[in-house]
Amino acid sequence: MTGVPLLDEVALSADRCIKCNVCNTVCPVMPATDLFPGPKYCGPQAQRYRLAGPEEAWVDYCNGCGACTRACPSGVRVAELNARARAEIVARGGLPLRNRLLGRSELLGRLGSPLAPLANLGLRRPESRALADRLLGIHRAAPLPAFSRVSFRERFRRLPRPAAPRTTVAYFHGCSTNFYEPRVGEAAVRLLERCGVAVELPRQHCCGLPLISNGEFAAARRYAERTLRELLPAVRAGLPIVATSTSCSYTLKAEYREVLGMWTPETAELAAATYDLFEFLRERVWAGALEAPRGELRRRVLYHPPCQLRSHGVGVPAADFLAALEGIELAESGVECCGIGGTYGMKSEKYAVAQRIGRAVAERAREHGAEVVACDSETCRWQIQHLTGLPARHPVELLWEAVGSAGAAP
Amino acid sequence: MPSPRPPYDVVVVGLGLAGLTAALAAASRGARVLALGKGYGTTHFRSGTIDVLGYLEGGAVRSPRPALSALAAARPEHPYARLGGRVEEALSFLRDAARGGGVELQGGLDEAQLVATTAGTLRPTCLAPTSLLGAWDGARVLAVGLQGFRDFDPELFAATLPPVAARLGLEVAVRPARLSLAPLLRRHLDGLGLARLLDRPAFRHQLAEALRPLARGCTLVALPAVLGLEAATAAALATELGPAVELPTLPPSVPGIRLQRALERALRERGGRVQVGAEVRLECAAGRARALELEAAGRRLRMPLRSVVLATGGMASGGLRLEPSGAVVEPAADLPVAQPPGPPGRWFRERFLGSCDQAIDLAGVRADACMRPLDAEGRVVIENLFVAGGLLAGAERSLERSADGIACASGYVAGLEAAAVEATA
Amino acid sequence: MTRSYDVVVVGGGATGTGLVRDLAMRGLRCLLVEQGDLCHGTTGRFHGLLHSGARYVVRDPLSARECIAENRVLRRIAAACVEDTGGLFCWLEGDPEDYPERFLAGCREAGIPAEEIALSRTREPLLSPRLRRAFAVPDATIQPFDLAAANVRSAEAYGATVHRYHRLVGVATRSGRVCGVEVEDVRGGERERIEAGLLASAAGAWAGRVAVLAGVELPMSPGWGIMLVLNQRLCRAVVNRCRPPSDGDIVVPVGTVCIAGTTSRTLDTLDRYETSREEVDLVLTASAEMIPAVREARVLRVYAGARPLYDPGADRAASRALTRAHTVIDHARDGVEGFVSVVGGKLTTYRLMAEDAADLACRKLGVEAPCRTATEPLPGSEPGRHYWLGKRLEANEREREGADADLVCECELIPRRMLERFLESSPDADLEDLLRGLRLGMGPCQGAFCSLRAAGLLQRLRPRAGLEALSPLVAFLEERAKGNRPVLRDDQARQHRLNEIIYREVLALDHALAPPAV
Repeated sequence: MTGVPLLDEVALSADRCIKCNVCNTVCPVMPATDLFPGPKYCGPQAQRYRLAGPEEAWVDYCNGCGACTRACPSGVRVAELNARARAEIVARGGLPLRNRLLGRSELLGRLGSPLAPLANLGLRRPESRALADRLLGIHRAAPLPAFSRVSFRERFRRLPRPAAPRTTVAYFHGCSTNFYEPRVGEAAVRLLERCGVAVELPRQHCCGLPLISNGEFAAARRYAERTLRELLPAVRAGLPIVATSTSCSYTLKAEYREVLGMWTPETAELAAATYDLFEFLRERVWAGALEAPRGELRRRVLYHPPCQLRSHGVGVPAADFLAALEGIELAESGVECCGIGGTYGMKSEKYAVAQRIGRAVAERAREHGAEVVACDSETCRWQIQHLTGLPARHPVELLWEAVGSAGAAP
Repeated sequence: MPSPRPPYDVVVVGLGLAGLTAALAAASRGARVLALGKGYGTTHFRSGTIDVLGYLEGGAVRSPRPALSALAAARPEHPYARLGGRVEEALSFLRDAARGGGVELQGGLDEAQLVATTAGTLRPTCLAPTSLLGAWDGARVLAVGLQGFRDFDPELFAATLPPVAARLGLEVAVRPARLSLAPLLRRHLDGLGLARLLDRPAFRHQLAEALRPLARGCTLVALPAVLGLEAATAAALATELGPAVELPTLPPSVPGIRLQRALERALRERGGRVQVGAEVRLECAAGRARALELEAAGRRLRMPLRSVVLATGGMASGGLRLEPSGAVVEPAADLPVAQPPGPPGRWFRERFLGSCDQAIDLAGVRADACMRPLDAEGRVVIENLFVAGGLLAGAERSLERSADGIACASGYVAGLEAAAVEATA
Repeated sequence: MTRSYDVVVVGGGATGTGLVRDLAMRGLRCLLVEQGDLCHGTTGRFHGLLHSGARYVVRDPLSARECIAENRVLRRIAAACVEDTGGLFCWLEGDPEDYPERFLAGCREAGIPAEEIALSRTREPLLSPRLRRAFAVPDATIQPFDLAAANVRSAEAYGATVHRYHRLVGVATRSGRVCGVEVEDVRGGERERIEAGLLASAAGAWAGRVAVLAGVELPMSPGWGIMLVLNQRLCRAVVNRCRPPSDGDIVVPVGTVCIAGTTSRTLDTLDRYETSREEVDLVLTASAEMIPAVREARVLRVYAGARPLYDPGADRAASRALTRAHTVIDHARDGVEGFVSVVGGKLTTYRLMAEDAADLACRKLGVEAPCRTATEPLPGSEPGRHYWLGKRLEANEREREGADADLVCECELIPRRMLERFLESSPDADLEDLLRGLRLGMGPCQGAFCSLRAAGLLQRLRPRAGLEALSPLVAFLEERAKGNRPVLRDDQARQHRLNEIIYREVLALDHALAPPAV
């Protein structure tokens, strides 16, 4: 019903479960709500029954952080199994309007951005939020972003290009950079320029992650196919696809294949060519093709690596670059998940769960005396701002702040 | 183009006891360390104790120190024989590191200590957290089962412990009790959930209040091993309740998690980096481990290496794999593996709980005194790669109860050796 | 007062329980004795298949005809024990060219609906790329323990008495006629003499032993076969090979697992069958020809069952070639009146075997009563409402009242209350009985977690003194491990090592029942 191939390698990975419970020990949702039986139950355990198509309820409380898959010593794709089970629920029982809306971040962006000041006012007013809470199920206090009047793509034309670029990349900005936080994209392009990297902006649309997270697989598949059509020409021209949103890049690298089950040469091609921005820069540093950008940033920064960055399996490259900045007092959160789970923590029935999960980040920020929190994923940033009251920035913004003021490239 | 520089001095593959000890040892020598792995070894299954040598030739070991020497003399292929006197050094190092992370381990090589389990058995160990140690001789025990927690039935414990203790010359009386408190009435309550509840002073107080009348006339309250994820919880409870002991049970092991997290914390504090979820292959050529290949999303990531510790574990952790073809292999670096002796049909003992040898246990990677991997002829296979933990050949861990001691000692030596490897041009 | 029955039935497998039900429904006073738990013998160790009969259409058309008829009956009367999986016969590249036509012709003759379906419509994503033709037949799968238990409940409702753990130790005859039996309570040791008008043996592979007690020789030829339990369902339907039957050519989805099998070896033993790695590999290789994923799949355990073949011609070599059809024997021909045996056959035709045996028994007792077992549904079964795999998960998902925290067996989704209820109705049940009745310990962890919990529950409800409290747990773990050992590799070897860590290194059970340490 979801179009996911039955008994593919993700489904068969459930075979490896030795019921060790390690996934349960890292799940951030289990301690925060009584309604989630845990990744072991919802993942490989329930999987043995799914050929019969039973009706499930509790798997919907999984917030998709992926900690279970990461921690599993046996190689079970627990989070992916959960995501597919959720899609089964949707395929069977339909999707509330709220989830349809939340799944379409690009549409929301296109509608809200031109009307930015007004739209933002609307989003801030307690009355409209209360209404949205009651009618749609979007929690009144959910950390929603503000629309940007001018999109990133519009700003891109005015950004500098390196005179003699050493290499060129294709930038995948994602919906949030384009419609909510164009300054992230700006900082990225400027930093790359400073590193001698030219940036091209291919035609692109939403990667489809919010659709995947909400279980709307048919639409997600269409978005995936469109993304492939739009990005593969750049890939085949030898351009790496570089993204600042670790959620978008994870979608391109893994979710099309492992969650949607699109095991094609094209998705593999795209995955192999996709990089997180700092992953890309670090690889060039390791290869000796780039000197790590220098700069000064005398601030107390807490870095929170997003779940989806950790699922990339490349470590925390942004932290390495931040740590090299002069004067920075950097600490890592050490917290598994900030709670937001993409659109999960915006939902009325899940908001409190998300807040409970993310409390630890606020505590860590307090302990460290942080002035600013750095995080590579947009929804995490909004959640962390909400939890801590501190500004949350993409690491590239902080890097650019330090590097930008330090003068021209070597 | 300049040749790629290894970003870390020492990379440790494996986040269990051996891996973390190795990483801490390397960090203690100033190395920049990356510790990565899939899962946390067997720490989350074991009891947070350090079993060095529990049984030798079928008999319980009263004093590990002389027993270790006897074992080393009798079995020169055994990891303990290779490691010699460094076992004690390693244990001391581990104890300090654990303390730094908040976990206090008691005991030493002079005298084995007894730990009671939820099955009502008593087993010897070398180092144990205070909360697992009880004064058993002459004890009048209140064994408390908690509503909603399914991994401890005090009735079973109460029936079994007295005769088990009697066989060891100890007199123990046990009274079972079951407690139902409002916060326990949840849909999903596992050991971790219970431990988190106990971390809260209000719940601890409630529990102590409810237990006090039941515990009258008892010298010891026995609870399942869920006394908090925070190291201070068990002691705080004992303050309110009187002497209390926690009993190891089925995974997830809360004391095991405490220890693993304490060691991980200690490593992070020393500047080590930890990455979970990493599936790793090692690229080796001409007797050197050149690079690490990480199975990252969408792509393999190649990281140049200076030195590496392979602490991927034994068969439970996937560090050794028994293939359908019948061969035992080491999948990360494809190191030569000493195969189990005898025909495959006899590799596993007849009785699951039997006391005879089990050939499969002896399989693994052979190592020299510096924990460098050896081939069948005893030659070092790779210069800058060191092996530690469950991966090592020659030990019947299940019979001897030696897994933790081997992990700790081999990890310690491997970590020190790895840190001493010079950077190559 | 000596107990007295019209008929004493020996054997608590499908045939025996079916027979005692049939007789009780016909108004006879019956006692069934079974030396172990229900399905202790072959019934508890069979492949799980409710044959459509298609497998036999070419070589054994009589068997095929019986199968399809009983397949329909059992779907009606035992719906709750039957899963309507359907079956597929797969003809692969390289298989005998002429077989499909003979197969189809045979199905037509036997009245078995067989339809060729397009390869794109098999609904089986894991079938071999060498598949060339596929035929759908009405195979189904059946849960034997549930079936036997339901027959027993029905029999008891009709006044029969059923004694498990009672072994037949003697048969009393007077003037060449059976007049009674002697049974021994296996657990307590007490013996009892019981009067019987007729002795009916449905003892399967033990039929020869029973006959000896009555002074009769009955040559049985146990045809052993192994079955491999694979952790996940790799197919929706029963997958068969469309060629002459041979080893390892069926993969059967039963409950949460699928079972690959089987082999065929005549061995004159009733319970000591050693499975070799070669035999395991044989089955895996053959099954993997149809479903390549079997090669990589996790094998949980292996078990062996003995086909109770009656061998009047003493041709022990060709076990498979012996007819699978059953035989009802009136031992008057051997000089003993009042003694009948029903042997051979297969689980699919158990009810028919029981009917034939009951018909004979009634004739001998001068009772005229028609058989109604084909029309009256078994307790718990409603025609059309079949067993389905998702039942326990859905029940657990709907459960909102705290019991979820009490899943004793997580793999098979067995909550505490289910165990407690079972123990209430079977007061002397041990962990093995719980396994058979509820599937405790049958999942991938093979008892790693549920053993300790169930043992604790058992001790709470049926306390044993001192170290005896650990006996059920130890016995259960050993029994599980016995079936794991021959197939340990990859993930199951990992599981085994984890289980060792838990029960030896953490819980120290290996020294619990051992003599004191030096």
